[in-house]
Amino acid sequence: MKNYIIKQYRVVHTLLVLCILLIGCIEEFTPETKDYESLLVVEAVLTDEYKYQKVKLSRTFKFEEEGAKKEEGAEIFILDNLNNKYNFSELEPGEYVSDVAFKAEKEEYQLFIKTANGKEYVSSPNTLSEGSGITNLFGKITTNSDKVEGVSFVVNVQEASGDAKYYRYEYEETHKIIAPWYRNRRAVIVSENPPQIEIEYKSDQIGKICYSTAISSSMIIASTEGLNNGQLVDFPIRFLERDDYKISNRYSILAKQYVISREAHTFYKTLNDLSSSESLFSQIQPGFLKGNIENINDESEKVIGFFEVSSVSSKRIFFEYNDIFTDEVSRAKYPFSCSFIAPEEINRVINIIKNKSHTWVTDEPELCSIEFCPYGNIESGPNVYVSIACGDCTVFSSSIVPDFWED
Amino acid sequence: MKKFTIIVLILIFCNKASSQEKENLISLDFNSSSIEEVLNKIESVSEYNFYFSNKWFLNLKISGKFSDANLTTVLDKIFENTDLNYFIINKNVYVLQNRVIYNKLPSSFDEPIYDSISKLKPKVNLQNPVFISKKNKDIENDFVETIRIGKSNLNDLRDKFILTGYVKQHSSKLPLADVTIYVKNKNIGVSTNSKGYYKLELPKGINLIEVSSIGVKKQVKRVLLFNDGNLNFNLLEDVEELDEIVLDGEQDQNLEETLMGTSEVDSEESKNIPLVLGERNILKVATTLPGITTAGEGATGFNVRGGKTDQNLILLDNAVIYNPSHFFGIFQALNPFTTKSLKVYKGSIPSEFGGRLSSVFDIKSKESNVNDFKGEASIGPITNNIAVEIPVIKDKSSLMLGGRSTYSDWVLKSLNDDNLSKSKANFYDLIGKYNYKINDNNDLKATAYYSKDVFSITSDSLYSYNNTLFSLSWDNKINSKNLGSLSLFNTNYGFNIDYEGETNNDFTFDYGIRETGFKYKIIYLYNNKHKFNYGITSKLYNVTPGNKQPIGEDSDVETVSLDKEKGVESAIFLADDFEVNNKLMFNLGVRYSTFTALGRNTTRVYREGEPKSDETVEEEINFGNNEKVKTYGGIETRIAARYLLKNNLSIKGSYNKMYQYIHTLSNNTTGSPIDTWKLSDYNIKPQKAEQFTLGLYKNIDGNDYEISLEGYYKLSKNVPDFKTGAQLNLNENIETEILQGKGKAYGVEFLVRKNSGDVNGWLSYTYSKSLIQLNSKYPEEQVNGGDYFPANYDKPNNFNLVSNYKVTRRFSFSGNFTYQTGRPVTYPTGNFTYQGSNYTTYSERNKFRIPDYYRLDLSFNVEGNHKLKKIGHSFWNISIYNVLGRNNPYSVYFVTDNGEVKAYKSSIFSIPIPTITYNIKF
Repeated sequence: MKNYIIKQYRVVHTLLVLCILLIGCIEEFTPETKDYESLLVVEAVLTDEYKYQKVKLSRTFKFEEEGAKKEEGAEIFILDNLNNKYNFSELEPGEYVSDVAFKAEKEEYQLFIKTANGKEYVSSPNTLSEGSGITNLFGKITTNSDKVEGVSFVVNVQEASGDAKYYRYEYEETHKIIAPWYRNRRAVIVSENPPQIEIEYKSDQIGKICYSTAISSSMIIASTEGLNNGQLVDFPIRFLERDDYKISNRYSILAKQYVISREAHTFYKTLNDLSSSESLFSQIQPGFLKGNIENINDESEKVIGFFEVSSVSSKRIFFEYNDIFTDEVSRAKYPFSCSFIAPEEINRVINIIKNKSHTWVTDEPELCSIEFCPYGNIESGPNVYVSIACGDCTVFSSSIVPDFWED
Repeated sequence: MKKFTIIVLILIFCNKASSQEKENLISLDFNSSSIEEVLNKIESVSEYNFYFSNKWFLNLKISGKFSDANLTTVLDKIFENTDLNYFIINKNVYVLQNRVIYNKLPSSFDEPIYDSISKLKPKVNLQNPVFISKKNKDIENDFVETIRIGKSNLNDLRDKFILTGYVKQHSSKLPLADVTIYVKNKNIGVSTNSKGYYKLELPKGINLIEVSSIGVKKQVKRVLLFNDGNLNFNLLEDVEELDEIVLDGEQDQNLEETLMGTSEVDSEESKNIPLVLGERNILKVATTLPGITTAGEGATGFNVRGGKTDQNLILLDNAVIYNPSHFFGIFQALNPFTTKSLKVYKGSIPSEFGGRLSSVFDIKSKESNVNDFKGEASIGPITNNIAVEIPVIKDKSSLMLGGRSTYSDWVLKSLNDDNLSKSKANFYDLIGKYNYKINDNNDLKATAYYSKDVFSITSDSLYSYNNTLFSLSWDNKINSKNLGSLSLFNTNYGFNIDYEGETNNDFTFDYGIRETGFKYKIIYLYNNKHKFNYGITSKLYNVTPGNKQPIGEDSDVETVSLDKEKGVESAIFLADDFEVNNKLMFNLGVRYSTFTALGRNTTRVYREGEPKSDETVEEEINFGNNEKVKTYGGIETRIAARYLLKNNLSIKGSYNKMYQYIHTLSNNTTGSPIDTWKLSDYNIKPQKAEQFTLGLYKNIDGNDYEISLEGYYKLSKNVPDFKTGAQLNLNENIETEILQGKGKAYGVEFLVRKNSGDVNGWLSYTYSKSLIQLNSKYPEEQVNGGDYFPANYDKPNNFNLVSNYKVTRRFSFSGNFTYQTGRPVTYPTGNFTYQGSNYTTYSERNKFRIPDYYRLDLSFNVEGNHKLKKIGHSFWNISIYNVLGRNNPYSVYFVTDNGEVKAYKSSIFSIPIPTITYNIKF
């Protein structure tokens, strides 16, 4: 939606003013912080996985600052209604991990925090939200709100109880990268003075194929409230345009589902509503969003965060471009532009090898035909080099094959 | 003046004559014959000869049957419904207009004859006849038309008679209100009411009556009054005045009217004012007047004197119109050619109106011409408008039809941009009005109206809303002192959202509100000092707060219907316009209103004094159909007083109390057409407000310049607001999200208006504040710690200049300039990282303001030529909206995009927008 409005702005000055929708104008600006308040932010998800559970504490930050300040030196524990106490220790600044591995069961859990400045906070008691796991995860052809065709990775959940459930999703996506100008030979410096290089065979294939992994960076929530049988059908968690490089080779997505409570869903939904724009004309009234954590002694202190106790399930799939796009091959471009050089001066060659800015491609530049020469206009040096990302993917990715990877 | 001489001669020579001469008996039978035919018939069957002018008989048809009757019996019958008398002498019958021929001279005949003669008390049975004396004649008014009114009646001893009639515009036949009717040299005067009706008590005899008003040519008539009678005036348009932007031409009305804070906008007169996209918009013109604002260019609704957008009672021909605008308030949903005027009451509100806290927008549509077929059409860049007036029965009834539609959808589709061609924005409105003048005492009017908007902002949702209304009103002159008016109305407002997304949750959602009711009002002209206005009104609300249904076979959406809401709002009202003396006048009004919420529904009862939530439910009560759920009500006092300090200077004060039983639910910062209306119920209390006003009014040079200064202080209670992130859609327990708080608004409004001359217009400046307090002992029910904070539409400084410069009769320039303080916004107090994404956090509501708003619009108007013989009258308007290209921020907001916070500011019309509109009248 917001993309749509931003696009609208781009065309505003070029098209006819007759069209009323065009006259509206959305501009991005660099905000400055006014009346900054330093508030405690609590990220705490207790799951039904048997593991060392984690809690993150940070502080709100100004627009002028890069990122969140970690809240260090706090004492944290989770207490259940059987009086079992799970203590947490700060392993890294602001990241607290339980001293023992445990999982959420059928008890009521409460999170207690005492910050370094002596303030005490407590969450409301929460029980584990349970539900069926992901039944199915697959990619299907859709068009997004900008009418661009692509693949949507959708989730289906057949909730056994038939009850309405609330879900939060995270995903982790991995795609295979094939460096287009990978060569099994390379240029090495023999001596700098006198400058001399040599083209030699590589001993391995590192740099040819890489795997990049990223995690979701938006709040993805779903609910089956108001649906007949509690079935979540084809709920999209990730959309990629068909010409996205990520799906041009092989792609894998791991969907992680948290079954959450209705209250948690309302909290996240409101957070989403407050941080998105439905329409040019009306805006939801912003205000402080209260979660389920508060200061024990001062109810009016604002604390951000929701202590969530949820059951987790996950599913991984692999995806090939032609699994669903059978009509045409991918027109995806390698994410880096490949520029070629053929320096005549050997000193420059020494420099690019030292700087790792380029990598060797060929010593037969003349083989490039008149009709098609991928190298473009280059000098007449004996060797052609390409910008390094095009010949060695390890400069931006990793050549280590992930454990889960199946080819 | 030959007639005069003849009459005098008859008087002198016939003073011995008697109308009771020896009579011959007549047998006669006539059916639907003209008087002339009948008289000819009598001549043929008797020896009598008749002398008359057939001009006097008009087209009157008479029927009768006589056998062996006296001539006088026959003639009395014939002339029964005319102003004719007769005089029989020697088998000759003289038919006379108005006069009785006296066979005796009055005792006062030897005294000088003045018009004051009629003031003498008549003696015995002899009435003082009206003499027309040369002496009495005003030489300079020689050209003045003389009209005879009434048939002289020998037995009528009154020396004063009642003259009534209507004043109409000559070409359109529309009634003219507030026309001054003044009797020269006698210090008697009156103004016409809104129906163009006047009533005047005049001395018998000659009266020189002058009829005048702004925008029409003055007319003078000499009236010879013989009895109570009727005299209608048809006034010619004064071309000189036609082009001016005159909000209303009611001389001294601003001074003398007791009510305060009223403004009127005339649709026709507003046509020169430059407006966005060439669309004439009286609602937007109203916002250039003090005290009426909107939250911004794309905000639906009006904020009147610091009130919320749901606090305005907007009436179209007596029926409520829930949303009088198209496309987020940018266009009015009223056809400019069928709309006559808009009157806004924002200070003292007459007791006949109620149900909203802040104002009444009384929109009247035109009455169509009963004689000639007429039409008006316009072509603009966004819409086409057309209106026609079709006479049905000549002089009696007529039908007006108007239609408007936009072709923006077509424009959008034709653009080669995927993004835009999937957008949708279209709207239209239709109106029909029938007026039927049954007779002089009874008028019937019926209006039907429909408007619809369809728009989409995202590709998966399609929104639409519509207004439907019907109203029927019957004005009945019960007698000379009582005027009754009955109106029946039915209004529907509804909206619909169709959502078609990727998953199994496609749905359609409907909301609807209907109100049906009546109002009966009587105006009782008790005497010179008191005019009463009283009546009763009642309406039934039916609200369908939400129906959600699946669309398509794949949708698993459960059908949900919230309990329907029902309620009855009734009121009785009484007001007395009490003129203590020439200087002091009161308008004493009182209204008693009640509202009863009716079942069927299931109502939650919450623990007293605790926040309403699922946890504090004490019990649930099931109410049966039409069972009383809760009744609210109270007395609304409406008092206004005016004191004339000088002829051209008055001071006024008023106190007003209002109740409101229906509220919009919106958690947006500005109003939108898909806000739902909710009735008061067991848990949601009615809103209440009290307003105190004080003002000074001065006119300079007649009313060429009008200056006013008004101050107000308004307190309101139970104004609904919402908790942050309230979920309003399909929420069965909406009361758990509502906070009802206090409002406080005050301000000073200054207005100078120049009503005539080549340069005219107005300038207004308002300083005002509107504050809201949401306090509770529970922090979750507080906003800004329970302190007063500025409302979303609080814009303290507001300056408007609207002016028009007439170069020649045909060409004129107009300009608007607006300056407003930027509206308050809630600005983030910081960012935070949560589950891998960054978000903003907010604290105090409305602590900051967006930059100030200013805008200049210009337009150039060309009237078609003034040749007499041409098919139609054309009018061109070339206007540029936002000439300075000021990028006025409308809102500032922060979104999380790919885990990062981005800040945006939006504006609606950020560049100059030129438009040309062509109008034609035929």
